[in-house]
Amino acid sequence: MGREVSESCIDSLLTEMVSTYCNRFYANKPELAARRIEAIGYQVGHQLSERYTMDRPRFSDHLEAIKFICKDFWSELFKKQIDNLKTNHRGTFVLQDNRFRWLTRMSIDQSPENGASEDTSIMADNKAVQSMHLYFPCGIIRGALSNLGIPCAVSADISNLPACSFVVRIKA
Amino acid sequence: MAAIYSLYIINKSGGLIFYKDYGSKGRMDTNDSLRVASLWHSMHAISQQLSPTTGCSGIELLEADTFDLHCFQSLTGTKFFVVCEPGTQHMEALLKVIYELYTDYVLKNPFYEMEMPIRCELFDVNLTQAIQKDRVVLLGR
Amino acid sequence: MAPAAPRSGDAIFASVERVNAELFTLTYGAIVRQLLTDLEEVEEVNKQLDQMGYNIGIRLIDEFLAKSNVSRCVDFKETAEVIAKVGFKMFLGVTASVTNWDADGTCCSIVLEDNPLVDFVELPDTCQGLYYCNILSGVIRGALEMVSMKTEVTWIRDVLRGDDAYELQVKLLKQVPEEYPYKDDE
Repeated sequence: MGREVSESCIDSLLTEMVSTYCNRFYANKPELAARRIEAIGYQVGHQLSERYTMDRPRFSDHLEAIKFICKDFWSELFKKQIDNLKTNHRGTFVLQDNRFRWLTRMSIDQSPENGASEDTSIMADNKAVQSMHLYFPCGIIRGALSNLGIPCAVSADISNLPACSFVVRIKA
Repeated sequence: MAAIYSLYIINKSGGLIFYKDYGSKGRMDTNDSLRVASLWHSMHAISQQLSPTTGCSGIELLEADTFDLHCFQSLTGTKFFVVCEPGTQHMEALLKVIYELYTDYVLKNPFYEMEMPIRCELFDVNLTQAIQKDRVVLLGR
Repeated sequence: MAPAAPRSGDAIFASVERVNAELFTLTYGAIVRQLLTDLEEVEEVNKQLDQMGYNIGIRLIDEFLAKSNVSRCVDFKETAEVIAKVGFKMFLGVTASVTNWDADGTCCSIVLEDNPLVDFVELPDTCQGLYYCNILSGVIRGALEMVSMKTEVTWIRDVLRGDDAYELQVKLLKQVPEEYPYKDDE
């Protein structure tokens, strides 16, 4: 086992990174904030895939590379594998993590106390922040895959928390 | 078996940021709970001033005929207190557990803003577990 | 019941959830790099990293207190020791040492020989003037402020700048006493 740090370190760093970009640098330009956060993830994914593929042969096809992300890569990052992998066999893969670590401490305020109108805006706000947090892991996956020679787009779906699905669309 | 009636969390400026009722006794409406919180905040501060010993950190236990009130104040100034049946055991340990849950599920929640009322489902869930009687008994070990 | 005994940094580190340090190190590096691109000025990046650290510190202090059972320190000397021996250990898994005390015990150095933030890092020539680990000084400043200590934290030595260790000077500016929250005439 390599070197470890407390999980709080990475949790705090990610929270602060998202808040720096969303609330301080680009408070009114969420799409710019999103792009920066994704770019940070991309670099991390790129570097990590380099390290974790050092001792293995080249992947023969896309599926094999995706499986590597689901198993070895995910285990290095989260100490567990992706729970479910689906594909339409036309270049789209859905990677589902039933309990995605980086979402486990996020509770969304769903109390009706605040009055209906205000509530919807808070909910929308929270949703926006939550999706900001997901640009980072999406960037990691995209960075890792593109380093393995697979250009793609990655998005996340959190309609049934704490599960999280990452949708990978490979560019033809 | 002794019961816990309610739990309060007060921020460093005295605002009630969390209140929860457990069980049937001592139920309060929102206004009363706010009153208890601000009253306790002031009394706690006054007790520090009045204490004959220097470096007193305020009241830790208030015993009444019908309830006990156990209070824990973190070094950062946040106060946690439980109101429970007289003689309930292991409340200091429980308050420490609650403080730890607060640091994990409130302070690490990216949506939580410091000093503001706590509305975190995960905190609620973990708190409910910690407060179950059989769990509290285990704290005594 | 006797108050719970303070726990050692090793014991806490062994009991908390831990993650691959590589992920943390590379993420921090990617953030610094992105900040350099976005802010252009190295001085601005230093400031931003310090601010990020401060924001982290004001939250992290409570987790530190809750998990370590550390109680009020008798003086600043003890505070510095606790940061070095327990704080650094429980979060980053490394220990630091405290040296260079001034005569009145309000200024000292925290020295890190092992620093997970900088594994794999080499500063390019264009980044002279960057305090790569500036987030750490912010964390310490923020955390201490929450326990009523105003401090100034500055880098004295930095391996990335050619020194032989990481040395942070922590200077106690003011110890704000906990105040009775009401004035007499209110």
